Amino acid sequence: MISRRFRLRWMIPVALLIAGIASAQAPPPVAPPAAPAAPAAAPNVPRTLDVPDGALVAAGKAPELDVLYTGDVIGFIEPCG
Amino acid sequence: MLLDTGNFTDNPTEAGDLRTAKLLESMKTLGYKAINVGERDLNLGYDDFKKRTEALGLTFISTNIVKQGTKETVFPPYKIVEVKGTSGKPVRVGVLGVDRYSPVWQKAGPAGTNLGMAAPADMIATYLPEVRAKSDVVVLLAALSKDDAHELAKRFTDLDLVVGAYGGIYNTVEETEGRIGIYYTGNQGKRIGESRINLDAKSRVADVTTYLHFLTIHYPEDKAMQDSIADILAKLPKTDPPKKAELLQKQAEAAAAPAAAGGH
Repeated sequence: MISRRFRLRWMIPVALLIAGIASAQAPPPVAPPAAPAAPAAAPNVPRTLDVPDGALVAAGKAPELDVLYTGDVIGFIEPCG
Repeated sequence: MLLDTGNFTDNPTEAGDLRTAKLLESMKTLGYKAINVGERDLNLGYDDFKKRTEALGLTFISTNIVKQGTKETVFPPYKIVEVKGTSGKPVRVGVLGVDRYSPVWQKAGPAGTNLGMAAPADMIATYLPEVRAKSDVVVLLAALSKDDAHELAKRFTDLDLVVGAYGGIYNTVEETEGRIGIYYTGNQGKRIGESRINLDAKSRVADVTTYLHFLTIHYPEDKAMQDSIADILAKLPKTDPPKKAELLQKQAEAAAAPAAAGGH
């Protein structure tokens, strides 16, 4: 016969082990419904330097300072290629 | 306010000299405020450059063309241009200009000296503090590679804008190094950059919006300028090497000729 004291000796560790496994396998607590995901940030696309809408001069409020610049003109005074 | 990064000079031929002279005269008419001296502009040395330019009253600068073996600049190293802002307040624009570094570049300088090219960063480090102190906006004219321009902008954060030309390279989109915009306009006068600048309450750059205008046939001609240039073109010697458009035309005609003659 197995004494009551002996059974307890095994039952308690086994119970603890089962409880541990059970809790590890239990589904996670149900979270409240998540808010709709924010749309992914737009990729950082550099702004084009083209004048908008094919205009010759960009519309908009006149800036405080307008700087115009050229370079490497190498004597071209007539239309080229 | 108009600026030029330099290398405006055509080849040193009779026709090239006529073109260069006309171009400079037109730049004067258009009201260019500061022009960087490029390597091409000194092809025939300092005395030739002065002879071609001194009567025009244009402002030529170079921050890194020096008397060889020294840090002594030959041209004014910078220009502070004061213009009236749209609000009516004066705006001070500090303009520096650099060419690519070359330890072997050498040209005849004034009074028997030689010209040399100092490292742009060394010379900007020398002059930028005083330019910054005197200016609301600081612009660097850059006749060097865009990679070099980025390096300079990374190091000299007191610049506001770097505008450059280096062969046919030009921007199609915004390009910055930190807060400093870097814009290249290509060559042969096909494109003109425009940076619209607003200032904050402390007269520091608040925002910059840049456009690159491709000067196609859609941009109207200025009649007076067109007539003036036509006069010069008529005077060009017939031996003048044809420019690209003429070459392309001749190539197209040559390619079409065998077909027109029966495919031979």
